Amino acid sequence: MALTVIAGVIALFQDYHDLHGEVPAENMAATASGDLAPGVEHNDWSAYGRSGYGDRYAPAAQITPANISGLKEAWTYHTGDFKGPNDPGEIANEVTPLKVNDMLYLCTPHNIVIALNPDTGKEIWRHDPKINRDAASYQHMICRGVAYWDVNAGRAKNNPAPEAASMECPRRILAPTMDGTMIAVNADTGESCKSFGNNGVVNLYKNMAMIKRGFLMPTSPPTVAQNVAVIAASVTDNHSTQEPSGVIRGYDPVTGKLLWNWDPATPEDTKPFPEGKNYTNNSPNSWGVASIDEKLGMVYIPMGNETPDTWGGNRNKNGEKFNSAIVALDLATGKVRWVYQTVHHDIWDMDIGGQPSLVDIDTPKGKVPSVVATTKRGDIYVIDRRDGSLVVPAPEKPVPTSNPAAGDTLSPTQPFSALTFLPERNISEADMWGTTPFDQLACRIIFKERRYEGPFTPQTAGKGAVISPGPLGIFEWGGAAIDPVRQLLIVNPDYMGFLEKLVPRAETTAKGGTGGEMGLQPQTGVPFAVEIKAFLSPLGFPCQAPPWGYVAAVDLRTMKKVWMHKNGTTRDSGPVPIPLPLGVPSLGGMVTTGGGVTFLSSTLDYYIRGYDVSNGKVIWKARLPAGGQATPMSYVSNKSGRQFVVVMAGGHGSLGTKMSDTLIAYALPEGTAVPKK
Amino acid sequence: MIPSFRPGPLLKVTGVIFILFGLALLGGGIWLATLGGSWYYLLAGIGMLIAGVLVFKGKRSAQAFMALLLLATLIWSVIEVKFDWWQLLPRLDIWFAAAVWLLLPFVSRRLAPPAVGAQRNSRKRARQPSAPPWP
Repeated sequence: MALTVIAGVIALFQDYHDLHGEVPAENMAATASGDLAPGVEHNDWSAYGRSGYGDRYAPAAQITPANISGLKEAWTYHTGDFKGPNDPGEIANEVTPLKVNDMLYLCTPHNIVIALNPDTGKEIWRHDPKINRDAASYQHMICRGVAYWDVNAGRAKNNPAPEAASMECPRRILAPTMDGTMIAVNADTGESCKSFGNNGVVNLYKNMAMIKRGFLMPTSPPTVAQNVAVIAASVTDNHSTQEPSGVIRGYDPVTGKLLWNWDPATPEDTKPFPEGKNYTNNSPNSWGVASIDEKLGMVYIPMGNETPDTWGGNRNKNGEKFNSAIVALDLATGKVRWVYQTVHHDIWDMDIGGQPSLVDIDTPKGKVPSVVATTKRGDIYVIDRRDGSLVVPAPEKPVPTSNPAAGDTLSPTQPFSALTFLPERNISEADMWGTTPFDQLACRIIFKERRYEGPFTPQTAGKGAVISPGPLGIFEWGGAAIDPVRQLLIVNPDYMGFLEKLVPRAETTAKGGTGGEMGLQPQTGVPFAVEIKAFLSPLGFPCQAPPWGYVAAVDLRTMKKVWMHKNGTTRDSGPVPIPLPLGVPSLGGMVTTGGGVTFLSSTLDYYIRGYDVSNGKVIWKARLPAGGQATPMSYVSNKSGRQFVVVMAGGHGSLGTKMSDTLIAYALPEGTAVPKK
Repeated sequence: MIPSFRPGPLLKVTGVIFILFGLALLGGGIWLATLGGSWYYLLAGIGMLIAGVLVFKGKRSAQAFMALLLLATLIWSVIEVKFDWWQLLPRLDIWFAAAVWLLLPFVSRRLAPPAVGAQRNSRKRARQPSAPPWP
């Protein structure tokens, strides 16, 4: 017994998981040069990921590790939009607001667009598109954000666009709705822009063969350049082979007129389809946020994969190469400029949810304009955004190919990026967890009963397979935050495997409409339904040992991890509210700032934390009233000159965090001396 | 001659709980072993069963036997997961608690004593009314 105590004491001081490190002084001392975020004023955050680059880097430098202890709640705002009786389980507040035009813009799960005063949080206007609320079968009720368009963007103040004076909505918000539409709203007044589309609304079901309500869900905002608004949408995963197309479309942001359509099933045919000609059902779609480089004239699409997701015997031939790829489309024409596929023949739902981030990386050969894509697999693909060539190598390696599901095939190889957060070794029986020997034993039995051969374990009928990394990924839709000045990539990887099982058609009567992506999904039209569930013990504890979640940073000049710490506590997820610092998953991204502080709010425990970007240590935290499964953002008010950090703490239905309608802004107390740059 | 020793209800209940634990581990352990997994749980289940029987009979050797099981489990655990606190915890918590329980004075003194003199003393005390905290 004494030995056990001694072992326990030794174990208290052992740390096998964290990487303690400091960002090199050279990175920390770097100063901004060049146009880091084209088209965005220094104080603003005018697109989902701040600019078209999607780097989630706010240059504001008022809040620093030295003064962050004074960071306090400045105001809160309640949207008033709650889950209703006819909403799906998967309703979530994932919004990252915009700050531009001296207003803060956000959307709620039911797509109500709201403008606030950035200093006080007082509502200026709200626009309710009054979407259909009979939505219990929808797979998502989510709005990650809105887009902003300004006729005078890029022009000097004294040289406004000639049409500005006479046009309706010279500044506008373009917003998605769960009704499968994109709406345009006057950014100054909240009034509908009647000259856009049909009375302010563009119908995304147009030219679709499948027009059933609730199957086409643009959960992410469009990506907007001066002359084109690019919009994609999620479709109901794993429902059937008769679902809306994954077509990605470019619209005129002024008139709402369709400029081009890129359907991965007919990739060459980008001229707008005429009335009566339909896009291809189920072609690969994109549900994340795209990024944009107007100078190169390309939009970078994070592609999902063709649903049904877990059996691919009948995949569209043309679309196959675009599944789970980064696709660069020509902004003007919608034609493919280049494509890089991160998973071949993806039957694991390793679709790319995170917004690809654009950054010019310091390499021995000089600055390379790159796109950085985080993936569910834990691999991070760093690609030259001009031509699609790899900046960080990703050699093809053999993967399991034996016993594919009946009628399906497997790719013999898959790319593995040299920059990865995939654990070095596969999970083993010894990695099973639980709270006692009994549930650990149960987890070991579950693990050994199921097929598991590491990443890319083929989907399997019978007992099914362990899919780890699972469909919530190592990286999900939060993507990465990138400090382009200090040349850092900052991420919040998760490690939670899933159990998936193909169920032969004859053995199931699954109908779908579960209001989420878990449980038995019908996949009608292919030979198997699929059951997807978290890898939990019979007592409901994770079967995989902690840590389940980290924060980490990579030096982009060397592509080496600098620091990595387990992150968050069990306070809000255990049966009793004990804050054990096990390192819990987070769903939602990070924001990093010029002041050298990075923020994350999306852990399973209800906190927003501030980290010293140089070493990843938590230097500040604040309790949230509910789950914070959204990416925070930061801006400087033009009126007061104060820097704010804003987070939506509205919770996530299917993750099971507490729901709320609270938007919270933090700032240093008024009158705090602003450090000189 | 050593007079016959009758363990009290506390030991019987403890013994039954240990036996149930043992059966659960043994059953699951057999299942896991047939799947090609670790044999530890099967062996640990047998160990727990034996410990349960010893406790049920009030044998003082139950303490030493439990200590042996804990030691074996500790060695196996450290081999599997080194000194990872949150990994050692689920492997060791029940064993540690079981060993501590057997060492608690009001449990320990109810076990059959090694010597007759001490045994009389113990039985006398055991007859006195007391309200042991229940597991």
